[in-house]
Amino acid sequence: MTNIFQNVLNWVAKHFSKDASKMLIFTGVAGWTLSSLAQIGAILVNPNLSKEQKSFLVPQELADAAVNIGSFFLITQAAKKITAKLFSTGKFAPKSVRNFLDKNKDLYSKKIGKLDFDLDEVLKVSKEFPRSEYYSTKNYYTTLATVGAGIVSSNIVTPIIRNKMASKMQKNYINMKQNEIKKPEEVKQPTFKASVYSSTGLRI
Amino acid sequence: MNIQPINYNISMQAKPPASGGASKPNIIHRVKQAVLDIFSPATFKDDASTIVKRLKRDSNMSNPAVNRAIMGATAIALQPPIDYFNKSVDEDTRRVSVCRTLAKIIAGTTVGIIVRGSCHKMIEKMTDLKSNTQFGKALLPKKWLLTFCKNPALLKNYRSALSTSTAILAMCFTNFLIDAPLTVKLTNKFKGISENLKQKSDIKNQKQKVEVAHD
Repeated sequence: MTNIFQNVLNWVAKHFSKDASKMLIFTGVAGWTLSSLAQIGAILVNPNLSKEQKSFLVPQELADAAVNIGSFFLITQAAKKITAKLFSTGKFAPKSVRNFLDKNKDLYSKKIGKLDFDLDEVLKVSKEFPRSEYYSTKNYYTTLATVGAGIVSSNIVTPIIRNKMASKMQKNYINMKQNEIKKPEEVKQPTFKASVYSSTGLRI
Repeated sequence: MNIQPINYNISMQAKPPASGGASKPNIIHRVKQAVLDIFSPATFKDDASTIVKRLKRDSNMSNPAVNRAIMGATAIALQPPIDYFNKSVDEDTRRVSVCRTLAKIIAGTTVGIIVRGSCHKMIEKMTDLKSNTQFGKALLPKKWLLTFCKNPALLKNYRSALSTSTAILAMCFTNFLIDAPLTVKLTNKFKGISENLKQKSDIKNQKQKVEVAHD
């Protein structure tokens, strides 16, 4: 039992100690899915909501989870990667790193801002590279970008898109209900006609 | 008969390789480069006091409970107005949608802060390298103790991953047992308040119409 437990801890350390954001992806998706399922259950059992209201709220909740997960990858992850890349290519840099790059213009001036250039590799080779300033600034702005993009994706993009999707589903539900109300009148006549044919032989 | 020999020399038949052996960048590479090119170069301050402030803010923003609170606060400010101005549904549905969104944000944020904060604190106490007790090191993988001692950043990431996954396991229960029922209660309460407000507003409008008619 202890071995299994230690193996689990080792697995977490191996896969997430260098980059905890990978775990955030898994847990974010799991969290939204669980939350959505619980909320849908709550809506369905709430006696104070009408069927028409539920026909909007349930799709809204489903769309909320789906769009949240999608926009998380499209917006939040993209913002995080772009910010990290801007720093690792030297386009954005703290002052001490900028001074280092200016000092070694011959080596780095043409590479700054190029996708293939990676300061994380440069600092492995160069002892003069100001590592702590580089990492602290890069991590801070990457976190800021991730939080900002998360706010935009979860609180602006997702509500707008999920409302449009849910409104459409509600309209389809209402149209379906209205068609069902009309149909019983059409069904009565054939039955009436059939019974008259069979009992009297009259053709109406 | 003068038969020319077949030239098996590949270099004469094929195109010569490009100098340096570099291949043309593909479309994805070009798009990524284009995105980087949108931004102008920028230099950020990195004096000691600025770095200390940034480390503190980074630590706060990465804290699961604080992160949840930030998301909850911005959600309350932004989501209800978006629901209120959703003209593609009738007024009644809009009102209920706003009440439910508010209820969901309040319930989700409150429970989220408590669950995530508690998990994070528990994980911190059970992954303490300096602790002499079994409890203090209960969630530290033995093979990684030396690595974590040499590099505290790895320990921080490990703790973050462990606390987030523990919070998700807790949420399997709290979502169904606390979040959802609390959201229902709050939705019904807010719905009642909004219906009362609407009735009062309708009565006021009717009175005004009667007064105007008398005049």
